[in-house]
Amino acid sequence: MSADPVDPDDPVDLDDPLDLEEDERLDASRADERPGPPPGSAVALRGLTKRFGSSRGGVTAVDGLDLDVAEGERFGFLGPNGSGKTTTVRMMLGLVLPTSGRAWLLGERVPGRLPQVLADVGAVVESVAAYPHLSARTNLTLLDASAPGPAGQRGRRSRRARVDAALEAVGLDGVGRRRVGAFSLGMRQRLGLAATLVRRPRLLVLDEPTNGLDPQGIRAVTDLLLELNADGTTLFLSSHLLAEVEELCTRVGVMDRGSLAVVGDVADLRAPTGRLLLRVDAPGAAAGLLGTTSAAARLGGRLDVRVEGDRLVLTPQSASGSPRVELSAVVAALVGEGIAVLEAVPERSTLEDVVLARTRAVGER
Amino acid sequence: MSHVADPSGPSPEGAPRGSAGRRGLRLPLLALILVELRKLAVRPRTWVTIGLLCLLPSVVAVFLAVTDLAPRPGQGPTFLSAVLGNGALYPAAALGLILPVFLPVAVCVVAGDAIAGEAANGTLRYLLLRPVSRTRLLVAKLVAVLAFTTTAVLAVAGTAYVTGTQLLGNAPTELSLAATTVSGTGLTPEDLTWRTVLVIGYMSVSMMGVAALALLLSTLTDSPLAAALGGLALIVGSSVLVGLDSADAVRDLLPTRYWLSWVDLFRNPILWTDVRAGLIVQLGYVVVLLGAAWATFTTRDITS
Repeated sequence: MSADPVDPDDPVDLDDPLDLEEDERLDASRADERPGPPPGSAVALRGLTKRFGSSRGGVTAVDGLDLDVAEGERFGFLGPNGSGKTTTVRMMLGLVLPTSGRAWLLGERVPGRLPQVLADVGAVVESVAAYPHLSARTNLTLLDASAPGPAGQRGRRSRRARVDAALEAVGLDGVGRRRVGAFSLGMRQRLGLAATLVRRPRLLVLDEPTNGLDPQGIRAVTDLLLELNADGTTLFLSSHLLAEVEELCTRVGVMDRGSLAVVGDVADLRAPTGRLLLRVDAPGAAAGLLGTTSAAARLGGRLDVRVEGDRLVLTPQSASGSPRVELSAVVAALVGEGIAVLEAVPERSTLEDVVLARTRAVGER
Repeated sequence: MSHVADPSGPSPEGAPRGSAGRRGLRLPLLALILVELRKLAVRPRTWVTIGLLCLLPSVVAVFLAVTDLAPRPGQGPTFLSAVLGNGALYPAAALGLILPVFLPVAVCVVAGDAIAGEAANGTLRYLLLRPVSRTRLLVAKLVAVLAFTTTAVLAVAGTAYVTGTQLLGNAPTELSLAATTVSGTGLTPEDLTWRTVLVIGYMSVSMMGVAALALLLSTLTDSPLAAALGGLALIVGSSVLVGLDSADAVRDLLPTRYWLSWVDLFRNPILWTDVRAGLIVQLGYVVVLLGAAWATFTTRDITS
């Protein structure tokens, strides 16, 4: 079968003038100004739109979404409830059909070529679901058995080996024979991840993969995902858990009311706020010292000092033309006065700040 | 993993590339069907349902054997009057007992559960995230439902044969007490066997319309209960209309109209007219309802 030189799914030669369908599609893509996916694209969305319900009383869940995620990336997909995150993921995976717009997974048009591309995609959409009366192993085996395995791994024995390896990778090897109905939330979460790993996906689309796990579990799953990514697997995490995203993703997109409010590298989004945070052994004395005019002269700028417990929050007063107050100068000034500095960092905005600033919860208008 | 570097890169034209595009294609539908059959087989409900279907005729057989009191010919369930004379007739009589209500209920439950049950359990989206087209999944589900129907019919016929020959009259084959047709003529054991096989086949086909209906409803709702009860309600409605003289105009098109025509297979000679009409009506329902099921399921948004 593998020697078969003719693939019936090969696209027809583009020069063939009789292939009208192909020509029409090319025309359509020319008419649509937006280009298709760049080489090495894992996810590409162009003007993706979904309206639910009738045209009058309907709801636009996703509105003209453009997004590119390259292969090998770790992308975090954020947004409040009702922002269109889940609908977007469902459209990517062909569960929900877009009202308009186009989507590609791993360079293949979806939903048209889904059966071809899904073999390389592992996904957990919202919660993990399994047959409760069956064991973890049987669940994974049944899910895998309906399609041929990767080339050279089609036999029953190879399937069993792949299932066992997937269960071991998520730490469920000891309970593979137990009924899934008796599993805890954390175990189900691991089972869902195992199900995506049976086929060694090139793209993993996951929904809050560490939700419900204990701290050790979070560590183990995070390490596993980073390891998979190091091997080339693209991670696309849809999540509310900002800590999870900060830990796992290098780039994020934040959805708000059906379109992307922010897309950018986590490092850029978490820009310094300009404030300085210090922990000292004598906060009162330190505050008094830093607030004076002489200190301002020495540091090159006035500081607004607030004491929060044993911490000092320093906000440089922006006088035009004044040089920035250096953290090192502040520390040196305090140490010179015999005050011990236990911790000193420039404050960075958290992803939470970014998300809260750029999105609105459902109902807020 | 070898996929890290892929020099060819994806093509905007959607060309398949190497193993990735090729894998998942041409997967044998058979594998998908076997998975669905296995899921049905490992489900306790399947066997409890079939067990209960077999129980009713067995209970009836016990009562008949103990009291020796069969309904008079022409009264009560078809055929029961004859089985006291020959237990080998009992499989057909037993199928006649479960056909009007119990078998459609069982088929509705299983077919109504086929898609809606997966949706309610949350597993439908994972079935569709496999490299498998929706059409193939629907075909596999249909085959599983039909396999269930046939298994149920065969199981009932089998238990009825055992209980019939053990508990009820078991006439020596060549003697005058051999089975008789509804028309009153004698039946050889060979005759009886192949006519019973015909009945089994006809009843399985009669259930196909119900199965297709419940399957269609199953693709429309995420509630397996709604799909099963909806299918059942339409069957009951059809039965009511069949008995209504003023509904004469549509009677011959109703799905339950020819269900009881299996009796004609025990006439001498066999009265094929209604049996043939019954097969055509079922085929019509199957084509239309399955077409509708396919159309809804392949274009539906899966939000469960």
